[in-house]
Amino acid sequence: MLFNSMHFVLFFLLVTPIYFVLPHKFRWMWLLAASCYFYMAFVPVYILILGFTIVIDYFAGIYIEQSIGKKRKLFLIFSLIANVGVLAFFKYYNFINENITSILYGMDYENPIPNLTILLPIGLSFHTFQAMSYTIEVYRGNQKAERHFGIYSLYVMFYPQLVAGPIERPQNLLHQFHKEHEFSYDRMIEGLKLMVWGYFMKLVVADRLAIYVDAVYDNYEMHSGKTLALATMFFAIQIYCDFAGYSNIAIGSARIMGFDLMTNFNRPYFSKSISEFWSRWHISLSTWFKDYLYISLGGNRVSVPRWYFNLFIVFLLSGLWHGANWTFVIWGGLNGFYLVFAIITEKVRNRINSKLRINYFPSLINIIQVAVTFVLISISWVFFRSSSAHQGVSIIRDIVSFDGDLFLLNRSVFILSVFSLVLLGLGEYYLEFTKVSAPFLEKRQWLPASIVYAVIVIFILSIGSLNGGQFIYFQF
Amino acid sequence: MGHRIYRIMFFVFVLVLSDQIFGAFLRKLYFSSDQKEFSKLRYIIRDFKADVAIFGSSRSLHHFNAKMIEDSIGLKVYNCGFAGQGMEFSFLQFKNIIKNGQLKRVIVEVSPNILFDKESNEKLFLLAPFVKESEVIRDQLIGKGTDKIKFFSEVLPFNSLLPDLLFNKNKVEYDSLNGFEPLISKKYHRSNLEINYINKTNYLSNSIYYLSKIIEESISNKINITLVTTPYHDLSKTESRVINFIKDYTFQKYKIRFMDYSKFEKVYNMDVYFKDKLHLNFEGAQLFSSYFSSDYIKG
Repeated sequence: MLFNSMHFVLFFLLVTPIYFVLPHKFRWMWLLAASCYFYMAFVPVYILILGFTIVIDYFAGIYIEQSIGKKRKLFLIFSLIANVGVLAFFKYYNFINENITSILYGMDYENPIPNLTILLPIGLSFHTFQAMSYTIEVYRGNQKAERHFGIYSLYVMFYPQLVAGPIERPQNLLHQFHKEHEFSYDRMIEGLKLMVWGYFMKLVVADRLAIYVDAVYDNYEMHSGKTLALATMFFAIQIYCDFAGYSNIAIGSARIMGFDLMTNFNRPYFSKSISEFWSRWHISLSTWFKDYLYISLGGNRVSVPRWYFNLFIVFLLSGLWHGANWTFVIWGGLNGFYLVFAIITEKVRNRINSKLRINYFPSLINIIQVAVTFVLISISWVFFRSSSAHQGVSIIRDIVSFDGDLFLLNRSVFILSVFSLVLLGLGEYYLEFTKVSAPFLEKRQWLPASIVYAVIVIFILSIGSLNGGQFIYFQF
Repeated sequence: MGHRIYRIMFFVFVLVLSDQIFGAFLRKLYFSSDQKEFSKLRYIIRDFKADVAIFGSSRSLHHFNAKMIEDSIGLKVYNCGFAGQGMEFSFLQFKNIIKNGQLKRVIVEVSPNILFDKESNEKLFLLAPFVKESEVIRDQLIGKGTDKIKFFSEVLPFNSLLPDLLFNKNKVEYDSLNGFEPLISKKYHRSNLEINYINKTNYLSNSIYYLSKIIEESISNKINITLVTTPYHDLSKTESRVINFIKDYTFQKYKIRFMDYSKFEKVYNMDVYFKDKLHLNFEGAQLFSSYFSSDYIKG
């Protein structure tokens, strides 16, 4: 069930009022049933996989808490292996097998192990990571093991964030299921505003740009450098609006019911450095990798070469998390390289800036930094969007040549794409300087908010792409 | 509490008012637009006056020179073909046209890629502006469960049309071309088009269903119907098999005429007459239309 479908709208309109009508002790059951229905709307049988990992982690959490010494670690390792094992099998089996086949083929051998026709369970990467964060936090002593099986199941399966995050931490989310949430008009309005803004980002911007991006990237050999450059820039905005839009809908729908999910995006394209970008983009995932991998590897409290290695490894694995393809690894590696390069050259760059007295023009510096960051990130998106490394390299080469005429697809598509970009730009600029997640979130601004949101809804109806396009991050 | 209800009502009022006003503006623009697709659709749904209607996708649109056929057979011919559309779209056009009782003959272009094209249903939304005035279109678009809710909006039927309404004055002189849209000066481009018929046979039932409905309603309204497969640049064995399947199926069930030009020898495999594998260019369409006209009369 996609967020951008009438099915979900009706589902949400049914689930939410009943949630508030029910006595508190029955609410978790209702939410759990709704979440099961939501998940089973995709591929019903895959709920068994979810059930398997929930049972493993529920008991692992209890045993970790009850045990002492090495046993605690054993239970943690068992839980992590189970989760990573499920993820590896469904997501990476064919990728690993194909690479083995290539290697063996190079040595004139055949791979006797066949590929499997496996459909990736939707949201697997997200709920697996969320489940792992639970057992790790119990192990670290930061979270008490949840004794209520239903509540723990709901922690993993809570439908607003089940299939594409935000990847929550147990300290933030678990206790909220025990609290009784009273209906709040203000929270309802805030939640609805976030949802409408999320739908705007998805339907008016992301799905509009996708038409042009798909047309160019699916026939990349036929297009000029200028066209590929524009399509790449469009893709950078598309993936942001697609994912951030989803997150806003998820956070908004949870907020209406009284739940606070973590912010997942903080207008990343206003970043002035790669490091800042990664503090604003997919925050729940980047903090997950920081807290559970980067710090475990030693973080920056190691030798300098080891520090760089840690950063690089984290980004490589982050790339691999996104998909079973070398293009994602290259994407992650490129971002890791950017970060390490930025750290290495920081002093030199500061010295150059100082000598050139560029710091006397802070606004100009900001604009240049934002532009350079956007260009670097967009270059990495080429690999993210490409179906092969060869395609990515070929596209980069053509972009650098910047030759040929600009392909417009058709005038309507192009005009709508540009118009939606302008609207987004205005909205994001306003939000960056008011530091809120959606326009006019404060309740005192109800009059302009009413008008603005009515206009946003009209935009969605008139220029939103309403063909029920899939969310990009669903495939992860 | 009172002021909250007031605020909600104010928002709903602003939303509904904006929807009504903007929707009315879009409706006015749409129904006075010279844009080629919009004006052609308006003619077909509201003002159709021809004796012979030709239905199908872009392979109808670009292949049948309606004026040439009209001069040959002595009946008023109109090419109702629409790029990217399938049988369900053709059926809806057909149902709107037969209301006036003038239609005498129907020609339907049937091709494997159309009968198996899963995308065609999605473009039914092109007919959304006519939801209010055409019961057939309303039943088809709104009849599907949750879609009923969408059409409370006045703006939604005109979704994505605003740039074409405001900026696109691409009018084709349909009065002189009778709906035909030639592909002029198009050099042959070899495409990588591959349709996996095996995987897409589950869509066969929907397209065949609507084709059958067009056939049955033509027969019941005593309208002469002919099925035609227009020329391809080249055909795979699978595509030939599919065409033969359609031919056998429709003949066995309905005993109607099927004219197969899929391997029309005057143009087959000749780049000079094609824009791509599926579409004749203007010269190819002229050649095909002249042969088709004389064969059609003989039949």
